[in-house]
Order: sequence, then C-alpha cells, then structure tokens
Amino acid sequence: MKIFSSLVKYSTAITLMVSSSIAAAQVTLTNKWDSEERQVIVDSHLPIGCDNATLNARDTLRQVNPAMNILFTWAALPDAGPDNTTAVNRASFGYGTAVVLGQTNSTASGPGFYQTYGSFVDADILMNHDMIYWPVTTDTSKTYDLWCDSGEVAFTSTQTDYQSVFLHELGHLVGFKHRTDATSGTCMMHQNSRRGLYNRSLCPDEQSALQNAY
Amino acid sequence: MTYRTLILAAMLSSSALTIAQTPPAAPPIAREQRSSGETPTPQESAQKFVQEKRSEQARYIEELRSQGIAYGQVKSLVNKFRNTFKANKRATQAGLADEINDIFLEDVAIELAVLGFGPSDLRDDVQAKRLFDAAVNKRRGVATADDLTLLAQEVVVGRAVEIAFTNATGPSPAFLVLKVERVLKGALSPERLIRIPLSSSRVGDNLYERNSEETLPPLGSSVRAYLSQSASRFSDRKGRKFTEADVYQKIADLQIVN
Repeated sequence: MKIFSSLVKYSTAITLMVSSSIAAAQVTLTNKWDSEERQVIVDSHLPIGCDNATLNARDTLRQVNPAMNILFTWAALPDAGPDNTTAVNRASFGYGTAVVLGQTNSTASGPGFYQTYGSFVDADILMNHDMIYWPVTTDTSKTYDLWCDSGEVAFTSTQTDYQSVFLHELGHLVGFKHRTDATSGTCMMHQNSRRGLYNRSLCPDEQSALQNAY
Repeated sequence: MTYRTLILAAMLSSSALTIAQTPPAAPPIAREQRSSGETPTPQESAQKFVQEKRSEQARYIEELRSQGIAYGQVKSLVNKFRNTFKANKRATQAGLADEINDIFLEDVAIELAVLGFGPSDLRDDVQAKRLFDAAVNKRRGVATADDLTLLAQEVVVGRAVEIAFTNATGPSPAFLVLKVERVLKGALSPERLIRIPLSSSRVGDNLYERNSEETLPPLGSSVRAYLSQSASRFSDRKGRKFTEADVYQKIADLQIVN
C-alpha cells in the first residue's frame, strides 16, 4: 500500500483474503486485512511538516486497537503509475481519497461496487498536493488549503486539518465505508471534512467496529 | 499492561474521546522516523510539487492545442487576475511563491479551457471575473451550486438506472447510466439516457477498483449532475477520453437528491 502526494495512483496487489462484513447501524467495516501488521509506503515528497499529522492519525487507530500495527516507511514514489495516468480527473478530487481494490464473490449479482467485498486486495491513499501548496487569496482569511500542525501558521476557519483527512482515508484503508447517519460531523468516517475543525478521533461505534474486526 | 487491559482502557475513555476530541491515555508508541535519505527540505518538497504539476499541465496544454483550442489566449485573459493571490506559508518558505502562483493560474486556465470556455467568453471583464472565481472555487473544492451551474454545460436531475461497462468481463471503465428527468441547464431533454464515466472501475473479473470518495448513487435514486461533454474529450486520471455522443463527464461529485 502506498500514500501519494500526487494525483497519480500506483497500486500493487498485495493479499487475497476473505473477510466477514461487520455492520453497525451507521458504520460499516466491510473488509479487513489478514494480519494486524501492514507496511505502508509514504511518498517522501509529502512535506516533512506533515509527518507528525501522518503518524498521529496512525497512532489514533492503534490506540483504539493496539493489535493494528501500520508501519510507515518513506520512499520517493514514481511520478506515473503502471497505468500511465496522464492527467487528473478534474471533476472531483477533494483533499484526499482512498482507492480500494476489492474482490467480489463470483456468484454475486449486480455491479461489484455495491457489494460487500469478499476479499480485500489493496488500497492506496492519495493526498491532494494541490491543496497543500495552493496560494491564498489576498483575503488571507480564505485559505482553503490542507493544514498540517507543523507550527508554520495557525489553523484558520477556512483550512482543513490534514490529520483529520488522513485519519479518514486510513479508515477506508482498514476497511471502513462512509457513515450513513450524516455526511458531516465529529466522527472519523463522516463523508465531508469540516473546515476549521478537527475530526481526529473515532466515535464509539467506529471504535467497536475496529476492535471487533482485528 | 496486558492486551485486554489496553482495549478496556480505550473503551472506557471512548465517551471522553467523542466530547473532548482528544485521544485516550495510552502507553507510548514507538514512532519510526524517516531515514536520512528520505528527508527532503521544505524547498525540495515544494520543488517536486512544481515539477510534477508542470509535467501534468504540459500534457493538458498539449491536448488542448491538439484540439485546436486557443489556450494561449485563455491563459493571457486569466492572467488579468494574477494579483488576486498571495503565496501561502509553505511556498514562501520554499522561495517558490511566484512559481506556485503561476501554476495555480495555469490550473485555472486549463480548467476553463477543458470545460469549453474560450477567449470570447473571457473578453467581457465582468463575465471573465465570474468564470475565473467559479473556476478558482472549483479547484479549491469550495464551488457553490451557482459556480458549478456557471461552469457546467448541462445541469440535470435524473434517475440512476444502472452501472454499465464497455466489456462483459475483464477490465473496463464503469459508467453510471442516468435517465434525465429534469433539465436545469443545457440542451439535454427528459427521458434521454446518458452515461457518466466513473473513476471507480472494473479491473478484472470480479475485481473492482473503488474510489472511496466518489459518490455512487444507489440504483433508482434521484441524482443532480453537473456535466460537461467538452471535459469528457480530455484525458481523465486514467488517461481515458470519451467521444461518444451519450457520454458526459461530471465536473463535480454527483449529488443524491432523494
């Protein structure tokens, strides 16, 4: 699994396994890894100022379930992945996204996207590097960039917390889908980020799902 | 502390976690650090960003020019609003403020050109500023409904009918088939069936790549879509272009309306 600072995806199939779906009322963790240890490569070109946020997000999951051991290594990732992506889908790519590769049950009907995956093969996280470097308007109250808690500038009401976004994408990486109770809120797997606010923790039902899964 | 004790401590503190937004007390966790060979300076990270963006933008500009679009004129008209921006702290620390400002303006110009806007759309200063602001907001992920309506060629409300693939099995792009019910902008008509490319796709038999942040409307649900047929003719992240008459690229995430 890899984490990119660019908008290019590079995935490698890692493991085939079968998981059982664990569904709570509003949170779903449909996949799980076959072991509690995962090596994740982080693109070294992500700014060093964001390292603590990256590690803090990982540690948040580990504090909920210490059995999970996500080990980061930093390496320079290639600009282009094996699918030779040439450009960005400029339609919708927010602060970050997780791209999950899943194997469906061969007897299942309907499009695979709507199904619970029988096997979880791989997942990559893309952090939008545009959002890290974009200039602000002359109205400096309107920044709209990804903010890492690195001491560079204070967190403003129009910025989005990198650690919160990264935690959310890690949630997808370990198998969570978006919550169904609301699109925005204080929990890890709410779909929409909240500018000027942190979402750095798991809600109780998310904690239970993670503890039960691994 | 034993494993069970660790779990119990986490569960007991969960309510405090929700309210106070702070992690529970836990034993220190050893943290790996970058190796010395993978520790670029802030300037090196920013320069890498500049290099990747320029490479990406060059590909888009080449595509625009190959389709006969007067991109240079679009860019020069967008440059009228150059002084609208100031560098953020990261760019300033890296000494790349002007370069990153220019890259951002290039992104905005490319965005407008890909969406089908040309020099004639930008000559009137008032209209140009509206389009510029809308494109800026879109690139920042803060576009309003008005921004998206201005930028889209078609705005429709339709019913999600099916997920279609170009092949019965094996690797294939995926399309949401939408039956148009209401037309809010553009030349589409009710009852028309259109296909909207998804970034999620099928990569093998029973093997699917799913973009977790892409909204996949449940089949049968009603969806609002901001669309551009012009954008569908430019490479997406997977290098795919679509020229079929029934294909419309979404310029923002699909919105489920009921």
